[in-house]
Amino acid sequence: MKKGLLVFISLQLLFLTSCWDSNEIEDLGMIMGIGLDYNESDEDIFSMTNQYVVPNNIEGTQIGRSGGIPYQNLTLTGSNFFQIIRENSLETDRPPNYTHLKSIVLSEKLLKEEPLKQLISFFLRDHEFRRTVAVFITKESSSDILAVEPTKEMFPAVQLKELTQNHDRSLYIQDTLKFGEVSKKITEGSSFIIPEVGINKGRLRLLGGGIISNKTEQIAGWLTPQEIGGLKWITNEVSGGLVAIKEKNSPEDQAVLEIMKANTTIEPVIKGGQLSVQLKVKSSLRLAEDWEIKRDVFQEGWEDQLKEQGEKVVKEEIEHVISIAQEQKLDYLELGMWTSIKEPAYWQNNHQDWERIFAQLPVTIDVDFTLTGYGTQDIN
Amino acid sequence: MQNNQHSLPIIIFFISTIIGVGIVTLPRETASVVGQPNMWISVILGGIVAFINALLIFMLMKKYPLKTVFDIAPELVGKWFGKLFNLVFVCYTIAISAYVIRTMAEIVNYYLLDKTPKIVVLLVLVLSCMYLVSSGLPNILLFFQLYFPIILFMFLLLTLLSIKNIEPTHLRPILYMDGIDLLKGVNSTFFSFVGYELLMVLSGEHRLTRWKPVASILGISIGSVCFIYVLFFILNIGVLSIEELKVITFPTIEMAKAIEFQGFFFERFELLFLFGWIITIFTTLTAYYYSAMLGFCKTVNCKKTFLINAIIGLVILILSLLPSGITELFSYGTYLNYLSYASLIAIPLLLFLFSFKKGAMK
Amino acid sequence: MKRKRFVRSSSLVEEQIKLEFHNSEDLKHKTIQLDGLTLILLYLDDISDRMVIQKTILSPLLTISKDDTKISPTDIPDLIPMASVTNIEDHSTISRHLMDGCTVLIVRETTDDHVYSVKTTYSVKRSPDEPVNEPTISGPRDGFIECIQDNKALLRTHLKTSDLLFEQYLVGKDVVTSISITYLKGKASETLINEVRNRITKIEVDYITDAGVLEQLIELNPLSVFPELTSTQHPTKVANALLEGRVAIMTDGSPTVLVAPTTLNMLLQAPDDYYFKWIPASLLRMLSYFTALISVLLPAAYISLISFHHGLIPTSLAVSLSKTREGVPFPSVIEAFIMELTIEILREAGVRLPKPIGSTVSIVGAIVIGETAVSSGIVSPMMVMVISFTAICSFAIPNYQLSLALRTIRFFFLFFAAMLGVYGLLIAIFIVTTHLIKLRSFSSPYMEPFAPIHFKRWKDSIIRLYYRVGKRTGI
Repeated sequence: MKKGLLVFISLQLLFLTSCWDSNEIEDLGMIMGIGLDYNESDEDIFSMTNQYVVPNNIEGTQIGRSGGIPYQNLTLTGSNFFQIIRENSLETDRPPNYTHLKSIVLSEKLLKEEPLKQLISFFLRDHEFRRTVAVFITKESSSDILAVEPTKEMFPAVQLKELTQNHDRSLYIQDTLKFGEVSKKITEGSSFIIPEVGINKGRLRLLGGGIISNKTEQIAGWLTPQEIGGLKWITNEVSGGLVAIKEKNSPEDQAVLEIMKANTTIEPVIKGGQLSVQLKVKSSLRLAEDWEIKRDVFQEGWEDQLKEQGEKVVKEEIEHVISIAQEQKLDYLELGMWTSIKEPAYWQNNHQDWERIFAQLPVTIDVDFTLTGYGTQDIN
Repeated sequence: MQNNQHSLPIIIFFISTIIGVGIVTLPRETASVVGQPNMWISVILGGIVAFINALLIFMLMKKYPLKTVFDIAPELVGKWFGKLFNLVFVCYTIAISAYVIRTMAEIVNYYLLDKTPKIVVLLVLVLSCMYLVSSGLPNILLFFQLYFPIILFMFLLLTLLSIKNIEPTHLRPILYMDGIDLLKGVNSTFFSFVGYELLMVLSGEHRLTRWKPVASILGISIGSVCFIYVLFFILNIGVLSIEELKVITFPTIEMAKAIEFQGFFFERFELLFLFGWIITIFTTLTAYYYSAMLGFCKTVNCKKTFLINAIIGLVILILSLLPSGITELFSYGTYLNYLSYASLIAIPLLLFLFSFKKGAMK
Repeated sequence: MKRKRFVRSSSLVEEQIKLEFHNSEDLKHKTIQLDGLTLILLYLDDISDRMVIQKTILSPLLTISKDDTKISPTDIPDLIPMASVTNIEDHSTISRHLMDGCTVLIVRETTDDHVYSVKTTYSVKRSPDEPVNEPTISGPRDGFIECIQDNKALLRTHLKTSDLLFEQYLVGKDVVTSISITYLKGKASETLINEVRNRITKIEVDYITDAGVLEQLIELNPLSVFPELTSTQHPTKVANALLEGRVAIMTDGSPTVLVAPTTLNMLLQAPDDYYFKWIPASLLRMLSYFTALISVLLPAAYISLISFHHGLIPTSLAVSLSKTREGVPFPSVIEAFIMELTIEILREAGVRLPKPIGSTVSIVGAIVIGETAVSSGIVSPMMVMVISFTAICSFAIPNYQLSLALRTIRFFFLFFAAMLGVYGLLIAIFIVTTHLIKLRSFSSPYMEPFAPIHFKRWKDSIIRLYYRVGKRTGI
């Protein structure tokens, strides 16, 4: 009897219900990328570009016409983002769905006017936005970036995200800055770098990075790709790339070392209440390209000179970045974090004052290279 | 008592009951109180407090083999006071069930079903639980045993997948700590161990009188829950960092959402966690639901019928629909804590003292 | 119809029998006079072998009569060599002996009748071939047939032990069917045997045509879709089960033998698992669990992903899915129901049709569903793949009854998933597992060894761990 009653109740339930959340996949406006821009006009100050997937134009499957662009960019303006998203429905029949969002592009102008925290507040609240979305900044308009025709991928937004996957190949590419990390940096109250993207001869290209200040949460400056390299040495993110050495200052004679392994340790030292930081870079490299004819790699001591020069190059890069950061009084070098970890007592007492301490922080840099080889043959 | 065959189901019962809402909300609660990377120490301390409390309950139940708290309360403090005690305990179990499933409904609404009314989400859950509860305690124990390996497997898988995302710097410094903050955290971590008090209900059908096996049952179950919590705390802190934990409503799910393997067949893994977690919610609900029903029947002296079952289910459902939103729900949570103090510590302690008095009179 | 009671020492035994058979044409009656004794032979013409009657009864008796010795009626059994002769005391059983194909020999003395039955069965039976619905790759290839005697013999050849016991029961009011409870003394627990006995003796029914009917009569949960007893036609499977301490129930006239108690785990095991090396065998076991899960859950999971939780599908798959579903007129739920229905119809058609035509069904099916439906845009290719993969998975389940059960609850899951997505699916899983937990097969839990949890016995469930042959533990 019990069972019968239960069956009855569940059947009743089935009849009473309808499928509230049911939404067929082909009826969705899947969005791959978002671009946010700032308008100079008075009312609708924000504009938002949504990159919709147009499934019918995707090539490679049996049915449907192929050819045509598989995406459609829809740029709309408004005074807040939620409003813009809802206004999308005026122009497209498919409700936007952000669960497959790959990248967000912010324009420089926007970050000059508005603090980042407020900008992304909507995106953090909504559960459709994942923490793994890649964030970029551009000096161009972000709608232009999303309109660049991708070379390998189907969608510009995907291409954009994939570009940063090469961070272990080049010294000048920063690791993907994920949305979750942006939120983390903001709640922690630290400065950070957003990877910069630009257009080069009609193709997307990763440039350096934009510095977001922890005080204003707006853009505070830019780093060139070389400076990104220096930053990566400091933050222990180097996992590949090269060190180019110009020997004897002549353009013909140069050598290129490939980075095999790199490790940076940051050691805060307190002496007499005064904090200083020791930065130790250890790296093993390999001779990749050599323009010097006279070098004989089969003789002992061939690497000494290269080593010395390479260390010097890297040390200079690091010093340069540190000087920029200290000038801006923005600690995106994670020195504060290491101090808080290794000298928690000092940090507890002085973290209010960190900006001032950081600006005058003496940093000793110690670069140590090991040359492990020269490849399979030495042509010289 | 054959040790292994007999105590494993009970250990599984306790673990499945204890793990519930805590695993999802506790990291945020603790982070907002403690706010340092080694806040998992609070969890261990909370576990120890819970264990001591559990031993106290055991010492009470040990004197009355094969009786539940609902049987002994009228015996010890008089019929009407005893019934009052029982009603408090029943209210507590109902309130906790309602709280647990409401939190689940919130999460389901956030992450799985946007537009489905909460009443539907909860109704299906309560109905299916009603079916399980009506089948009696032995079957409930069997059910828990069936799902236990699945829960463990999902948690293990989630741990393995998250390890890649951990940033060790978030977890440091380990040894630099503010002891007072850690102790403050115990208040909230202690409540995430709630569930062992059902020993007072289980004792009705299982002979739990000997020190060694019962202490080891309690120790193993609270200990392993403690281990799982600490593990998830470390994952949470490592993946999200302390400052983030304070602002994310359901950190563990966000942590699961942060797992992404590009190009792998399954790119996204939060479903895996939600699956395992809803199972734990279901087991928690079942345990409390059953206790509420048993307590109610024993208090008003009636048989466990389908009608009583349905009434209790309806009360849980209505109660769970009362809070209007998440903020209100969490504030209800603090009231619930007072009720927990009453039924976890006050009732057993009073009964314990009365049992001495009764013993002396004899 | 009530059987008439026979009055003993009636002078007209043969007349009464004739009456009972309504003077049926095939009841033959022959009287021989032999030394003052009247011998009456009664047999059913079609199921008794006339050659055998001639050889074993008539020729010995007729040769003896020439020797001119006095024969007493009690000597008759000794005079008939090489034939099993039983003395029938209770005359009411005569008709049953006749129906078994025996020849009834009535030796009439002046005072008394002696009735003997001589086995002269003319066997119309097939050879014990490999069961069609449970083919195996290695191991013994014989299968049970419709004759209970031969089935017992088969079982004896597989289990040469004196502990093997058969207990015969007769069930049915109109048509009596003999049912045999089989077990290994010392292995099967007494309580289990008693429960089986109880349930069999409690049956009140007019007739039993097959073991499948018997199964439904002794089950306790008629509402459940899951089989409470394993039915198999493999003697080795039964032998294995008996060795594990289970009880087998044989029905005369049915090649299917029922085994009790049954667990879900047992239904998912193929008999030849035990003949392979343990590592591949374990992988096969896991495979069969996996296929069982897939055949139940896949369509529901697909529906809930594609129409509820789009965010959980990998991006590239989501993009191509939304392309393939473009232009499909139905919601994916309806699409799935249509496809499921088609597959089920095709499957039934394939079973019913004679074998030579059966293959046409599969060709037509493949063309109709696989090609035309997709290219005309009624269903999406992905749905075809999902549903057909599910169907294939359900083919891979070793036990047909279980596969039938899983096919049924698949629709239950589909329903819940269509309503509440993954959450609904999970709730449906809760309900079904609650049911499975409550289910008892002859007082032993259905989900053993998962609930109650016996980690030690897992080595013969999801995996089949190395075991020393012949050293298996009982249930």
